[in-house]
Amino acid sequence: MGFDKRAFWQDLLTRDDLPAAAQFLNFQLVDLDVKEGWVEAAFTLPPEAGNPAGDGQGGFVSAMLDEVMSIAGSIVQDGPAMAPTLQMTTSYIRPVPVGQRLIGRGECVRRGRAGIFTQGFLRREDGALLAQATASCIPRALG
Amino acid sequence: MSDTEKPRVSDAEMLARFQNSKKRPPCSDTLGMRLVEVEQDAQRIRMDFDVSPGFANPTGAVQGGFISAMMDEAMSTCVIIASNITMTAPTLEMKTSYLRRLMPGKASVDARILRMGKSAAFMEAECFDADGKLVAKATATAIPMLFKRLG
Repeated sequence: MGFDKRAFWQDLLTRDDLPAAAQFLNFQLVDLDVKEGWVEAAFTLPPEAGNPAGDGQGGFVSAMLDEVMSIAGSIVQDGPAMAPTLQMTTSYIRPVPVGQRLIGRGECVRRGRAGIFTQGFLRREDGALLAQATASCIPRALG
Repeated sequence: MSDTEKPRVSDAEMLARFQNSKKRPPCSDTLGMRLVEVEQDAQRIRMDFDVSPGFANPTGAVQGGFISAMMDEAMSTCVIIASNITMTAPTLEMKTSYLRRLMPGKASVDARILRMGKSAAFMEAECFDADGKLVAKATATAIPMLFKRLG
């Protein structure tokens, strides 16, 4: 089998034509480990995601976490795959700034045959935890 | 609703106040949000959305976080209206179940207050696609805080 999982995901996640949602969030891959099942990515929320207080509206915060958690749930599968989210819970720990580079980390907690559990953390560059989330998703092979 | 010192306005008037507001936050415009129903006694509202294809995931469906964004918008607005525009309510935690995929385009969200206490508010919301099918359901908690000014 010539499938190089790391190369596949590295290439897919650094292409110019990233999915629209990832582009809106200014997704930028930092690093990933397909064996341990984690990914780190930088995000910058556009001003369009601002709430009345001028911070990132909660749903857009969940969107960043959903990105990295879905990737974590995808890269632990054997081939090209995705991991549609069934349920996700986000805790909003600190206000999330717009227009500032943030670091999201998604981790696979358990890869089951029928279900995958993930968690995610969103931090400022100085390391302060802004939000965290857990999710359950289902494995789905592509192609 | 203990903290409503301001005189209450009718549902229609409250609706008009939001629809004509010039101080919409950027996220409301980004999501193509329009408040369409207000029921103050039942502490519920309904919002219509026009979801941009710019929020699609690789399958072309709306990425889950943006569905959460619509429901967060509706639940937060529900608290503001239930408090007669005296309170805002930063979300502490939110849980979303994604029942079906949602394609970009028209969607709507029904949101209601489950309990509005002094130190905590509990809300829930349902998101429907253009055909009226339930696509997601959410619950959330928030801390009501006095608004500095609005309305």
